[in-house]
Amino acid sequence: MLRKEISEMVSRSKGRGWVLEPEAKRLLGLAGLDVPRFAWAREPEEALRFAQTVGYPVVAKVVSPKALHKSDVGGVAVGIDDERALDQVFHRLRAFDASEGVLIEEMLAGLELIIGAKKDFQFGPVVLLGVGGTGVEIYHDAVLRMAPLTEDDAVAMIKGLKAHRLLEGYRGSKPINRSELIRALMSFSDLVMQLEPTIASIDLNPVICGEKKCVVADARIILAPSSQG
Amino acid sequence: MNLKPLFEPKTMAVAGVSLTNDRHPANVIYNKNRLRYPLEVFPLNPRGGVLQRVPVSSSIEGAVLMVEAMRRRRPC
Repeated sequence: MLRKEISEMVSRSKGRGWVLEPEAKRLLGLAGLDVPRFAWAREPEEALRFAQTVGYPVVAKVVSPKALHKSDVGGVAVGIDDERALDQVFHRLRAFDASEGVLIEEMLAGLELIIGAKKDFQFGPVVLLGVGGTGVEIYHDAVLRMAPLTEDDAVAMIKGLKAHRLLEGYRGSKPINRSELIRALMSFSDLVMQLEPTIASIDLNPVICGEKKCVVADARIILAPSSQG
Repeated sequence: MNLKPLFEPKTMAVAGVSLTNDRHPANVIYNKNRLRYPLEVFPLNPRGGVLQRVPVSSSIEGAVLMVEAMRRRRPC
């Protein structure tokens, strides 16, 4: 059964047609996925306070119903490494059209993957795992399975990637935590099945995987037209 | 002519599933029917075995026996 908080977040987003990133990250956290420490700052002091807590460098992203593809509109700044830079970036992003604040997050390092879901006409909800980040449309290295996933499905998906050797450790790089990636896929699959009537697609890109965990660095939840306001 | 058993089957056997390649077309058909339709789906492979923790029949007769056993447990 859909948790009340998740239900409420989805309801609040119906008029917009998609879930703002801070709420998407809260929703994913409730669903058992790891997200970076973040703050939704409406004032510069909030942003600075958060950055002091988690430590620099940090990432800043515009939160606006008109900026679904934030990178395309210059709405993302990474590697912000001091207060002055953060203050400047904050004011720039806060001035965006229809800005509802700025999302400040800790910076992560690791292998970038993509985990996604959509409702296919023939197969219903399907889950995708692929090599992600900004190169996802270049590498075309992705595998699909029907939700709900079994653990065997998750294992097969990882092995099915052309780049699976990168996940196992390659040329000196450490392997990612495979158990955590499997856990993320299973939690995601459960969430997809719960949200299935209300969503058109979910993109978690990138999911940054390292030795210890897999963290969702960016999330886009698009609602089905029938469930939009 | 009653076409209901064709369009609304209660059971289905999918022959030719692979135990080693989960992207085999028969496996895709097996999974789609198992996950998306309200019916019991039985995998068939001459080698028998287990697929996703489900016993695989090595013959059509074996699948028929499974269907009969299911029907006895669950009378219509």
